[in-house]
Amino acid sequence: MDTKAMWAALAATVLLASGTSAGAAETPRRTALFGDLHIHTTYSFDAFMGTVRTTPDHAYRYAQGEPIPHPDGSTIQLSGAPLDFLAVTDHAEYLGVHAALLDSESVSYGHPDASRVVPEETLSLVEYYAYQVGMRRFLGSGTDLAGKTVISWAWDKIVDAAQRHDDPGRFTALIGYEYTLSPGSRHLHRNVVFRGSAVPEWPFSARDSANPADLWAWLDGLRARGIEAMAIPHNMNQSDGLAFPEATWDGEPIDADFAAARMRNEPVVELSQKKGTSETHPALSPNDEWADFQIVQYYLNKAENKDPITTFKGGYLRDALKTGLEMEERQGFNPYQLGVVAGSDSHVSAGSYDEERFFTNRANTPESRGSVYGADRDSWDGFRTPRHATHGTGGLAAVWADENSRAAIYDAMRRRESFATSGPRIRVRFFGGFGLDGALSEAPDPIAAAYGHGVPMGGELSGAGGRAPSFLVIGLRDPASGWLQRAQVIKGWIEDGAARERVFDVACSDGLTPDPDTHRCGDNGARVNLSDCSVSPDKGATELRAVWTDPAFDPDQRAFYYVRVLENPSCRWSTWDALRVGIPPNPDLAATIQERAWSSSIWYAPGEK
Amino acid sequence: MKLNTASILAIVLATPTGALAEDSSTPDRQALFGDLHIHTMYSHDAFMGSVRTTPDQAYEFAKGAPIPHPSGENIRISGAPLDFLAVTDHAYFLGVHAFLIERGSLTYGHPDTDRTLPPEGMSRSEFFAFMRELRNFLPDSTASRPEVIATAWQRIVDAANRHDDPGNFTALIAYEYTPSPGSRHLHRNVIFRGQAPERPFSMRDSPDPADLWAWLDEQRAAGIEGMGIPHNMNQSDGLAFMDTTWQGEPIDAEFAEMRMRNEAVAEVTQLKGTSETHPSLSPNDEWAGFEIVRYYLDRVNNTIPVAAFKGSYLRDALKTGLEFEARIGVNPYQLGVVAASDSHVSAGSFEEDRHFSGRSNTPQSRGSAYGPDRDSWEGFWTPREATHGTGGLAGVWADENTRAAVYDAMRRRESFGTSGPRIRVRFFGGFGLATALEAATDPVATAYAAGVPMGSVLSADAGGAPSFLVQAMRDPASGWLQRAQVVKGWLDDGTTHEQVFDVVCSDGLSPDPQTRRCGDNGAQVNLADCSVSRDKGATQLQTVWTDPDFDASQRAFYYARVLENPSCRWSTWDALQLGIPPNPDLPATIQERAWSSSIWYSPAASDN
Repeated sequence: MDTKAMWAALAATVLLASGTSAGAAETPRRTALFGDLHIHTTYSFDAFMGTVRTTPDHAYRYAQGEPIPHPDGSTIQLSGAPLDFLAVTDHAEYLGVHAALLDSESVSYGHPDASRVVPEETLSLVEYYAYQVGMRRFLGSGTDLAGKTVISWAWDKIVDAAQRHDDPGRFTALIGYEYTLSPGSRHLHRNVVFRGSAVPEWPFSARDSANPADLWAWLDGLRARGIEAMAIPHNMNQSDGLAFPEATWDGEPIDADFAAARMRNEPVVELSQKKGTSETHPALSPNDEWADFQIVQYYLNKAENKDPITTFKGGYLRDALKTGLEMEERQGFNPYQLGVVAGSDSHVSAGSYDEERFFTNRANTPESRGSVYGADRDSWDGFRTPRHATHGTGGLAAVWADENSRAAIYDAMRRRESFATSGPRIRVRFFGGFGLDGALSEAPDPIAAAYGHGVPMGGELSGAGGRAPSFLVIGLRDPASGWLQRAQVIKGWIEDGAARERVFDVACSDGLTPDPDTHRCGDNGARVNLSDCSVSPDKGATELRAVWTDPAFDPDQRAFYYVRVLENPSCRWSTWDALRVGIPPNPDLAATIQERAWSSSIWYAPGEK
Repeated sequence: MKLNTASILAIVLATPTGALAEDSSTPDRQALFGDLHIHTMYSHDAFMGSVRTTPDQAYEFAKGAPIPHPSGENIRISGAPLDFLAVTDHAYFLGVHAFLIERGSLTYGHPDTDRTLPPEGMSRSEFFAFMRELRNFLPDSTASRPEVIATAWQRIVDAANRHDDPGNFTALIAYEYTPSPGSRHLHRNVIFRGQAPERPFSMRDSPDPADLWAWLDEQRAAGIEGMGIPHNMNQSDGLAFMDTTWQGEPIDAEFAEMRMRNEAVAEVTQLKGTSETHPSLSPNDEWAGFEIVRYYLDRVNNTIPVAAFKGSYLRDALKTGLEFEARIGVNPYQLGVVAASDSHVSAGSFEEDRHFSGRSNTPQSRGSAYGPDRDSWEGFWTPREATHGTGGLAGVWADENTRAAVYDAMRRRESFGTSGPRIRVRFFGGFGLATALEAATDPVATAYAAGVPMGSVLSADAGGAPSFLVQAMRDPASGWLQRAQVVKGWLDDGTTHEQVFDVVCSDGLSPDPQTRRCGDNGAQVNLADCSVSRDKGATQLQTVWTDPDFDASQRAFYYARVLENPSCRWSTWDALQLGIPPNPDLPATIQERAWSSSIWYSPAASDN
């Protein structure tokens, strides 16, 4: 018997003896599942206005690999593997009100006011905004066309579709909806996702209350009735600083009860989606060379989407994680101890995750999304890049779950053992623990050892006699996407009462190692040929792995750590669009991106003194 | 039905005790994909093709790392790493060439060096002449003495042990036994379950595969378990599956049992062609013409067309086996399937749009593009290499990713082959299986409990015709699935027959009850850019099929074949990249596919 086989046999014996399940030495206890928690169908008023007529059933079928119609007349289908899970999250506000008018079996079919909410023909963008204002005013006027009976009819349809498609062990269809609060066009949007099939009669919407704290109170009430659900904030980048404020939305100081209510109801946030990334912003993280990833530059619905975003604090997660540390240090509670997921926010029942095969709404043409200039021009000179061009493709949510079921996926998010990607199915593992490096040095199965001697992403560590914790970082590439360039640990900590941050490269591809002073990998030489979007054929890694110990650890400083894994550069969707049309890519946009994944954090708190 | 451990486990899982209700959705066994046929610089022919990469590099490539190609560029798997790999260097002359250029090796500076290492820049015919001369003198040269072979073998074993990582990646210890009497291939890879023998048994020990089996029997008695895997039966000129032994004696039960003890599976496809069946053997199988290699290797510079088909293809052998079983009571050809690359550059090429070959690795060198001396395909002579396919892959349904589990899956023939994509195929048969599956929440657990998986034998049952669960899942990195078929062979009045049944169709189509064919699903390939229909084909195909012509008195076998929609062949991709039309001698498109191992049906003794 060779040494490795002997170790494996020994490990199996030990695990069996300690009562752990057989085969655990080979099989990590939890598997990575990938899904989308943010999809709109014809039951969302804005998707409907974008001529989408596909239903939640279509959305679940698309997620399982089947082709469905796109509003432009073409058919769309996932080019790669089916998703493991999906939540349809139609806007609760006016849920299904428009779709009901077209459904002969609905309560409002043939309603005399139908023309006031369903426009006769395709409108220009400006006319569309004007029509929407009138429509919203009418819908808010108390018409029975948008009454509880209609909402409840649509909600039942959504729940029934999820029930039909949920297939434990193979595919999970979560029941969800979107709570869509936008005071002054500042997004305080949340998706609400239920743990099981127990759901309320109808969804609590922004029409019920314009304060997310009231949503939490409603969720608390459901929980008391045995209906478990959480809210997932998104588009914090569009909140104008309202997403992670230092006061409540009523202007009161945040107290322990408020922080607890938030944490009870919102363990994770959507870090990236097509309307931009909310990890951090170059203005907030000037020393992070990768902070400018899919940053959306304009407010939505303000001055026809032409008003540049200028408030960043309170709008990005890394900063919120730091704010959370400060509040905990100062006041003893942390309202922002948040894990991460990602989603698409697609409004065509179907996420578009691939740069090379990107599709958008409505006309779905490069001209309509600003990646190609129209027939009236022959160069980019003087072209005004629209907001849509700064959108990314959709991201994906991932969980380390015990099995593919509603409860297991929900529980993984609840314990923040979840991560986010910009689209590719990059798998990220992250564990922290005191003495973890020692335990791993002799472990035949690092995952089992890490679970045994440390905590996974989402977990908390508290002081252990001044010792520095160590971390296991693993990144596995998506075989259908690029190769991995580097894995990083991002640390935030409290020093002299103020939160700071630093990015450490911890594992490099191509035999490189991080420089001990700059904490950066050398250039691995990976390049993109913009004439055909081909990439260096032999740069980057299939897997990156490191056991990292914080070189600047101070046991008295509260801290968080999370992992970011970067692929080699590849063409952005806008470059692919331009390449196919045979024009240069829009010079206002990044020609290439580095696809990536982000883990949830592990938090460190000093022990009792 | 006989209960084996797996079916007992499946029953336990399927029992509604409550706690395991969720777990029953997880199949007991997972599909693992790997390559069981890779040559490195330790193979004399790879070495002469300028390959300088080692078994270590072959395992690194399989795990996803880039390695050098003899053309100077780096190659790497574009998709997921493989789950397992066997390096199978030719046992005869093992490492002989490699040691001649290795400073400090036991033959460095040997006087036969110049006769053994080919000079640069030889033409094809000069190279073949050099090889013929080499085979004449090298066996008697001390440059190939047993010590050399043993040293190379130890390095191969050490490399496999270094890279074997139970649970993550399996590195099998193996080699190729390569007898080619009169250029007729009787080649076999020999794969070990765990421990390795002291040295490989090669064609220098005996060119008769029966002697290899006798050696494997001896090794087994000494606790070293290994099996032979025949390949390139298409190149055997009918010798692979004969009606007699290779000594010309009638095949008796003892010979048949010895063969089955030592050869459980055969390579159904690899880069040098597919050995499932041939259009001349299966005129009613519209898909029989898949990657058929047209010329004999090593005969008059590879220009003699293959003309003997019987005895060279697996489906025909499965039929011959039924005849033997009826006559002598044992079936010498009860074979399962795997597939492989047979790459000679330490690295399998499995993808049509990124195909690489040996040596200079150019389209001209592989006949998919004409040279600068021409401006059209007119009068072009298509070389043998152009009829080669990309490499295939072996799939196994294994309990875990370890040497023993991968080997044991092949031993029980719970294995399948693909033409390159990682299509997953499940195939179960059983009497009453259709009924059991009607109420099943988890078809796979139910099928294990109420039936047998691919590779097994069903015995007669009073309960009518057997039913089959056929399941196929597409490779997300490849095309969509068009149809799944059951191929049946049976013995009627001493004569064998075969029929291909489409059993499940994509795009809402269903098989016609008369022709047994799915309608056209409309999937097209645009040859201008090799794009395919965006919305045709299925992610998954599944059906329960009952043989409509079942006769309980007739011996039979059944296997599943799954076809993707058409897509561009590698030669079309090559031509497209150069902006010339594809070679009209070659099919412009192929249908990638997967083949399951068979399930055999045997009548009760009284029916015989």
